[in-house]
Amino acid sequence: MYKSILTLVCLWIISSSLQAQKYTQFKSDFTIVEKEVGDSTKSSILIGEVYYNAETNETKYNIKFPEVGQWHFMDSTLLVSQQDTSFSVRRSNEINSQSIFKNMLSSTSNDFGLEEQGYVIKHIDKKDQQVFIEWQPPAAAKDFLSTVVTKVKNNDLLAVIFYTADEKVLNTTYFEDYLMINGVQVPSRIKSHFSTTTSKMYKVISFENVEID
Amino acid sequence: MKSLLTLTFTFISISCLLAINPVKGKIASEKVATIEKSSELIDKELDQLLEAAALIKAHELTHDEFTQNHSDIAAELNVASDVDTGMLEGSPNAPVGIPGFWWGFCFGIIGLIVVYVAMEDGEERKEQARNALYGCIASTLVSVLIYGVLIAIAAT
Repeated sequence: MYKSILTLVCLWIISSSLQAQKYTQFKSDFTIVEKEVGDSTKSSILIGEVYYNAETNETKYNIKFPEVGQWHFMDSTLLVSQQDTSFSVRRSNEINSQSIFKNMLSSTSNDFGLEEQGYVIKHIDKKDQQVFIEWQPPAAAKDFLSTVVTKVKNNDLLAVIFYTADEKVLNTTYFEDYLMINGVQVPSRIKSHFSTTTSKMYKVISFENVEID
Repeated sequence: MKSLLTLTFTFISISCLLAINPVKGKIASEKVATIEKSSELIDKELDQLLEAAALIKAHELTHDEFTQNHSDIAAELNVASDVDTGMLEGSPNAPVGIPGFWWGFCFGIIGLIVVYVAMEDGEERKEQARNALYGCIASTLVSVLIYGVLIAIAAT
């Protein structure tokens, strides 16, 4: 009997995964602007194209500004080619699996991956058509993080705020200007703010000419 | 084996029950208000950089052309001249080998904590963040392990 129940559970998980993973390729132009304000102010602007393939687990970033180059993540390897002259190989420790493109294509998570990481819903609040959810962290993160609040509208994640253990805002991230591309909801603008005891970081990532296959 | 199956089944059942019975109630109003305030702050801080980025894209400028032809803006903004010297690379705890720009594409709390570890100077807070990071990675691995075990059992 247990074997039958487990078989059914596994089949359900596999079926859900197959339905979610309908598209496997993401391609887009991107722009990143970033500013760190601390003892001094540093800025960066990055312009390029990104290509992600979920089947081959690879991501290619073709950078045009500030310098021409390519960053190619494949499994746990990073190949770097800069100015078409230098070439290096680095270890990237499977971080490719953490990319936002994988999440967009599978369209499975509108909670920033919180539930998967063991976060538990503490409160739910509705305001107009927006749903605010307050989450409690798992035991492993409780020394560092307290609550997380997410804002969702029409099943799209709009914002997430992390609070430190002493209730200070650690990070706020916003997902804006959603586009429907081949039935997949893509936030074309993601902006974020980090605060530490010594500096603050502000960042915006924009996607244009998004293609999903 | 029987006790393992019982334990696994109980775990899944409790998880399902908890998932469908979230606690409803009020979230502190200032937490909801912070969501709006923080958004406006980011827009204000990055206004000039976004304009500079639009200028660079519109005219397909290289970094040299931008600094030479728009020297006032370039000097004021202090825009980095290469990719590898990103925000995180300057930190002694930066994830070595991975360019700072990549962490913006990272979805999920693991990336968030890695960035924090790289940025934060306070040792105690950094240690707490590292422990939280290891915990997050471990919980992801455990989820993968449970999934693998279920598949293996179903196959026998």
